[in-house]
Amino acid sequence: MPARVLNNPLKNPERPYLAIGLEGSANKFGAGVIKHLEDGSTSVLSNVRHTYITPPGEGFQPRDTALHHREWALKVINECLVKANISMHDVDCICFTEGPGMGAPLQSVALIARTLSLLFNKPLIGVNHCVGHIEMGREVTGAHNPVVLYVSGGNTQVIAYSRQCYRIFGETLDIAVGNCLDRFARVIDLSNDPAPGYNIEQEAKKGKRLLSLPYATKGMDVSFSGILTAIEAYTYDKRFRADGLPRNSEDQDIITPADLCFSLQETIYAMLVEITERAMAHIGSKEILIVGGVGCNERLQDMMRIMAEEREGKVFAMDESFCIDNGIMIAQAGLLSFRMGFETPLSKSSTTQRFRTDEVHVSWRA
Amino acid sequence: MASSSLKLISTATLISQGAEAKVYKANLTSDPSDPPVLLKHRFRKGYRHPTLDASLTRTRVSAEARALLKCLRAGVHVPGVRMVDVSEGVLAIEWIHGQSVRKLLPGGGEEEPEPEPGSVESLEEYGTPVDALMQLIGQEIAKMHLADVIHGDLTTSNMMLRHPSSFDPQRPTTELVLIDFGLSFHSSLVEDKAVDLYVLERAFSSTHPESEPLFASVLKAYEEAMGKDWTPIKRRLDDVRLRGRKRSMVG
Amino acid sequence: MSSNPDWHTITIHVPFASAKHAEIALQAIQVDRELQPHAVKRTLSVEDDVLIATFDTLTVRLARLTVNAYLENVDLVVRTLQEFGPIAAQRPAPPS
Repeated sequence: MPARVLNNPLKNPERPYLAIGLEGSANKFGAGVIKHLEDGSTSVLSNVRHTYITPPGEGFQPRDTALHHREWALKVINECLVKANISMHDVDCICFTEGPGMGAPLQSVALIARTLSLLFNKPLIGVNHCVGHIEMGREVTGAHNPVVLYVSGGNTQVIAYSRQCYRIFGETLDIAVGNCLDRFARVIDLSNDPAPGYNIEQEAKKGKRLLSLPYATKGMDVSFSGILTAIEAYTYDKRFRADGLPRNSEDQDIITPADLCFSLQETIYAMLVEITERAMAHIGSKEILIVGGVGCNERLQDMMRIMAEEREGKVFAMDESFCIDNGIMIAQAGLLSFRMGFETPLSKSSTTQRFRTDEVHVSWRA
Repeated sequence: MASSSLKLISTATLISQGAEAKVYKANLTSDPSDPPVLLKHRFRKGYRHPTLDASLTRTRVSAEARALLKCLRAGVHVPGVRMVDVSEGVLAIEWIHGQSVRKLLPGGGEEEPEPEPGSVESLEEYGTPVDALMQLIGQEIAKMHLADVIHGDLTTSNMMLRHPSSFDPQRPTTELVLIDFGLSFHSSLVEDKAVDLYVLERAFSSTHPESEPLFASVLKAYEEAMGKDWTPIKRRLDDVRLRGRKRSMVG
Repeated sequence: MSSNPDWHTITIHVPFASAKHAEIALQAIQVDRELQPHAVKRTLSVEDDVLIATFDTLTVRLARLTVNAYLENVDLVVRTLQEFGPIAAQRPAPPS
């Protein structure tokens, strides 16, 4: 088979490049500064984030989230510049999340980005949030050409790179897995601090019963609304004990919130691992990269690792500073496209709630 | 103590390992004149909770076996079922001597080295022109949908042409066989049939060059075989085509 | 622009620290279209160092909502300019 010689279109820079990235598509506002050096390496100069945490039982609404971002953005941006030991004059471009995400929060961040761009006369770079996750994942883990499982509160996709496009192989047919987790956390009144998914994970460790839940994979796709309905229904089951305790010494056959968390995790993560495995088999890939907030979950990482080992593959995952939405990933993806000559004209710098990962022209890869 | 299914696997030849199962060629008896069988073993997945794993395996093996039997009863060309072991996750089906449609069409053998002359399995060898092949595909899928069986993973890899040597030389014929019913399910819904066709359309366009006229022939034959059921399915197929591109992501 | 007497008109003048800042605010804010362009008409302009916005809206409720949203945006731009303006002024921007 003739080998295809792939020339990387992105050459090493002739001088160091700096970019600042601003992220605010959901309830986290993040700002980060990244540096691309002449030897082709990348350095994270700073990565600062503030999360809008709602009381238990409540989700975050667009209006309040936008308000949170407007309150915290300037502080976070300043801290980010101080930590990076640079001034806004030093950056080559200002990157911001163009979409997808929640309308009002996205728009607030874009407004700041535009103002800074005009004030400091710096190019504006609109970035796709999902591509940000992928590029940061590749950079941090060194994964070569993995199947990417992107799982967060707003997205669930299985992605593989092909000819300058991040192709979506499989995705959710209804809600994102993180959304399913967040909503379930509200049903059982779990704290949202630091994140609902994290608290479900801790609670699940105490669970013992595997309750039967609808397992919903359809080929390469998955769906979660059926499972959410089913797991909520268990809270009306007469065996459910909201405090996790039996009523008396005879009360053996009970269902605790921990059992629900355990059952939910085992089922939804098995589904995600299955569709990832399908993509791997289809493409013939041996690498998996997990990105997005739900990717922080250790049980998901473990399950993925077990599957990978059975196929002689490898899992690449990151810690929460990069898994969870952040500004540095926007800076990274933004700077890559800027160095290939991309720029977002001011008049085209509005944001959008819908922005598919495969709509981006990945010019910086062969 | 290994079950008889597992013992059978231990003497079989591994052909491939997909995401879901390992596939083997095996002999059910020691008589060499008996045809071989294809063994599909849905082995234990270590990442799944054992209870979940066992339940999924049971459900999927029995669903696949049931779909095959339903197709056979309805006259759809599928491999015959030889043995089912639901608890071990093993399904033994008729070994089809032939070639996948994917390999017989241009574009399907891309990843493989050029075959030597004389060893090529080509469409000519099968005596079936491309257009006739597309018609056969449309007809088989129609028969299957009329029996309310949804394949769930229609691709050109999941259809085979029986090799001419399988037939009586006095009356040579051609037969298109649909295989791999691992994702199949029962449904009478127009939506599911339309999606089944859409999956095939996508598979055609991502694997074979200039696939539009090919798939159009498939649909033509499907339309003729479906009769009055065609119109609602066609309408829904148009919807599904639009939907596929517009599925939105809300961050 | 509609001068229909049934519509409601509000004009807002916001002074800035400089003409340049007012111009920046205008350019940053005008990128986003109004959510209901058939019911809300917006005009933005700069006179000296003042940003002038005129809204013609179909209903009083829309006038209130539109003005609230506009002021939130102006507030954000103003605070950004306040925070970063001095630093930006220290080093004049090189010719683009």
